[in-house]
Amino acid sequence: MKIADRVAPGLTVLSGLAMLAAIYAALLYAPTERVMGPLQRIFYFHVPTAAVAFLGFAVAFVASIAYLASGRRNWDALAYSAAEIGEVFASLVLLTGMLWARAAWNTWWTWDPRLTTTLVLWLIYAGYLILRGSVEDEVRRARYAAVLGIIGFVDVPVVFMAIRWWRTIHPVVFEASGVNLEPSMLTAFLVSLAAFVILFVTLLVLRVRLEALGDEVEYWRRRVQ
Amino acid sequence: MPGWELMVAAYALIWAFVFGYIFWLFRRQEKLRRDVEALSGALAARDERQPGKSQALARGAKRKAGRRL
Repeated sequence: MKIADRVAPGLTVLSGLAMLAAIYAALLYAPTERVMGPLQRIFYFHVPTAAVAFLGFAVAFVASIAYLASGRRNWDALAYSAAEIGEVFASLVLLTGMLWARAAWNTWWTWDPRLTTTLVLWLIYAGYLILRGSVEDEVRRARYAAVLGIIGFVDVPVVFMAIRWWRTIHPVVFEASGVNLEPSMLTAFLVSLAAFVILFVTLLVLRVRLEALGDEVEYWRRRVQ
Repeated sequence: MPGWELMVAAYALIWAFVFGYIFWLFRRQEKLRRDVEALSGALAARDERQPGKSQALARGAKRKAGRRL
């Protein structure tokens, strides 16, 4: 509790500044793309939200393994917090992707491998959050959630590789041969990615602090009863 | 819908989600802090009736909360 309380204000200010830099880089610094025009600027926030969603699920995966190995509540709280934040960003990936698709493909949704696997990922972690809300016993809830957090993560590499394994209409920017971006566009993307990672860390600290506070309430409630 | 309108919609959506989530976190945090205060108040009230017992429990709760993070 004390460490989180100490770092949270600094991290909040830092993520605010980083986001201002990301907005500047995405909307003003990066040049307008010749074919897609201003719509291409969705990329600077769409891809970092996807990266942060993957990061959230990866943290949940590692914390779930650590919970099953140690049985310590701290790992369960970290897994829950990271999965919830990952789901928030996965929702944003789907929604911003739909807006882009409407202009680029003239449809809000298509059952493309990348879109379908991302939707499956979103559904897996929606199930994870529903599971956490539906099991009464604390230990069983943490154990079931940890198992789902480990199995669910299997879809993350599938989402990432979907555009390489299967025929797809989703754009491929990062290839083994190199990055299909102008240097100034790449700079804007990296600034935005860094800002979203800082935002993720900030949200994770705030969310874990909330879990600790919830545990404290539960502890006092038991003692008062 | 022209490209720039969809771009603005995408950025607005991202910020609405992020700020909405942060707002939810802080509201929940305030509620939990109020709960802690109410529970410690209830414990203090019990202490008046049963001196000694609640003070020992409060010390235990503080130690446990300090160990958590």
